[in-house]
Amino acid sequence: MKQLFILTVLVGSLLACREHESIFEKSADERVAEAISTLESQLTAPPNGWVLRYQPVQESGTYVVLLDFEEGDDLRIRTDFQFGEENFFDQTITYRVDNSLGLELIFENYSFFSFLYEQNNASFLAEYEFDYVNETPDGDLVFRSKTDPSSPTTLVFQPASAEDVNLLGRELSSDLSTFLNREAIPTLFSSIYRLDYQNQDLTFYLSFNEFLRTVSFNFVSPDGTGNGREIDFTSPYIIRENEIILEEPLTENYFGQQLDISAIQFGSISNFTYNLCDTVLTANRFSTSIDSAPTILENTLFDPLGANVLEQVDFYFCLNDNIFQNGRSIGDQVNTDVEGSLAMLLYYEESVNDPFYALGFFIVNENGTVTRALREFTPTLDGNQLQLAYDSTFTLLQDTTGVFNEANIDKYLNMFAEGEGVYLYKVDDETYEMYNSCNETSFVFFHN
Amino acid sequence: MKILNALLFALVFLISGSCYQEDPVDKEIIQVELSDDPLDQFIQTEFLDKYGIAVRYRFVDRYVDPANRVAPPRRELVREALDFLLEFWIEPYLQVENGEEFFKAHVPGEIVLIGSFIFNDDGTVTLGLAESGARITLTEVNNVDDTDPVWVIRQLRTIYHEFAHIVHQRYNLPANFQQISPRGYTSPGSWFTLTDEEALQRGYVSPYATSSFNEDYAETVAHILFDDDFFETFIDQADDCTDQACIERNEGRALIRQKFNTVIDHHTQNTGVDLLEVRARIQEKF
Repeated sequence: MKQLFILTVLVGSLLACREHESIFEKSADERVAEAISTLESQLTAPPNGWVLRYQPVQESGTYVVLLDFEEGDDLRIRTDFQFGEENFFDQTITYRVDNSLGLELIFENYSFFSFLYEQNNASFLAEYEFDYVNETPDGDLVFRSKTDPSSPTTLVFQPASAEDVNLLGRELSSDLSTFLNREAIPTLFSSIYRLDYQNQDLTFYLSFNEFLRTVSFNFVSPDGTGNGREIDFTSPYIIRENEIILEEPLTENYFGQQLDISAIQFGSISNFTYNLCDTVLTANRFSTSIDSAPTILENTLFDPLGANVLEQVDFYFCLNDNIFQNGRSIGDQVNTDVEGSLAMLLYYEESVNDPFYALGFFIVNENGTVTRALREFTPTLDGNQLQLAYDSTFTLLQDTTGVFNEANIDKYLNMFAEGEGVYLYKVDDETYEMYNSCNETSFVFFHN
Repeated sequence: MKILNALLFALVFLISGSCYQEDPVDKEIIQVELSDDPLDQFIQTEFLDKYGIAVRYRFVDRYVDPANRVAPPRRELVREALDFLLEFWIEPYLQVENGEEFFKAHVPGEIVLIGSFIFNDDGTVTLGLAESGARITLTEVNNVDDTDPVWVIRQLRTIYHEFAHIVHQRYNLPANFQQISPRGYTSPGSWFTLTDEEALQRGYVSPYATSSFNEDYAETVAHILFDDDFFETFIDQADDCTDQACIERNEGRALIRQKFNTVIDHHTQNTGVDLLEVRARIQEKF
């Protein structure tokens, strides 16, 4: 039986022993080189390059990108993206068409794409390596992100016309960046801007995310004060020439006025002055329009949502690391100055019979006990501006025998109350920024 | 019968094997056209021709672990980063006895430049990598600024650290190195919970040095070379200790002193290069 099996294998082997015929006319290397060359030719073919409307993640806006691939390995990338002082208006980098599991396109040097990619510790899910998918019947080239872990972003390169350079809104991007960075109050983290309708009794309070290209409508008021209603509406946008176009329009009736906001047109940017901390400061103002209705978009310190912050809860804490001066944490300095302290505490108990307003520190003593070293204060709340008049003595809670340096605690309590006090901003339902504009200090509080 | 079976098997294998066509061995050698890019030419003359180092500055994903995320270097900053390496890494070795021979014999074949940090899945970042003595990966090229002491120190620490790995990968660790502070090493993934002070009290030059014997060696070498306060911080005993922390720092220094001596001896014996001479050349540059 065994011999029969072996003989069968032997005969099979003999029959199989014939020349291998390739099903391809060319070798694998030749076919890969040809495929790479074909894609390179496709990329360099359009005389005006390609236009890409790039939305790296669903929650972001869309960036218009012009791509001009040169023969060889140069790639010119033009965008209208500016973030802070860095702009990516016109860059030339090198690219490579390569072969891995399929054809891929790699942007080899740092560019607008890698800037987006490295945001949030490179977890933003933008990309600069792409898998080639196909060419559509319209001549568009379709690529897919090589690095997205799931649901990879699809990118469609469309042949650009000579006029497509006009799609880029660089002037608006630049002006908007200047406006959003608020030269007068650059260290305020919270983003709050006021949009006034000129011919209607309507004011919106907005925030922008310049990097993500999103705009949020947070509050609407018929008289520009804290009266009005909260809105929870955010839309990604795309910049086109002198306007931002919302991906999703805001359609709603506010105080009897039906609105359909799908875009904001931007006109000229100008300055206005105002007094803050006995200093005359300059802020920016945009003349804008919405659906032909003239509007003004300007910087403001007023946040109607911030005005209600202290009504919501009565105890807040701010970890030492969450005290920022000129935009940088001064937590280490606080730790040194107020030995054993972990956080700043704010009590705002508005009880009619027994109100309790106090600010101070949570201190762990050397013996392990806790002292809450507080100064009670009399508050004056005007809109979202809180001013404090401290009592002359400390109030101690828990271990009242704790030893601490009063002067060093006062240093930070005065930093909080100095000048015109703090402006209150709601970051989210649990987080509030309290900003002293006179010494540019931000205290980021949470409620317990 | 068994012999017959064996013969039949052998016959089958011979027939099968003989089916393959002969592979031609006279393939034409692929000629690569040299780049006329000034940056590539600089790399060719200053790194490849002189030391056999290929510098990879254009992004290729196989140089990076697929689990990590990086941004490529800004092309316009690559030359500046390379000048920095020439001045602070290569030149000091060339200026000391046996240094040039040592450098050329041990230098890795590839340097990979990364623009950003290497971002890891666990939220930490990697400053640099040495892989089997063949490749060193340097990060943070996009922040190049040789007037910024923070950037300079971080880069020097990384490059000397990674280069030190190549030495122990070639010659093993000094004989008694692992017995000097065996109880101070941290459990995997927890080194970053230590402060510099705690690491010093345990007998290490940095918290990262507590992560393994190899990292301890590389960190010790790197600190010997780049840290101008090395002796004050890690070697010299404080005479006037009045508190427990000071006493514990001195105990740590005693351990580091043992490591220092064994590292210097081991390096000199195996490579002929005195690390203290190299340190002196580096410190002259500040």
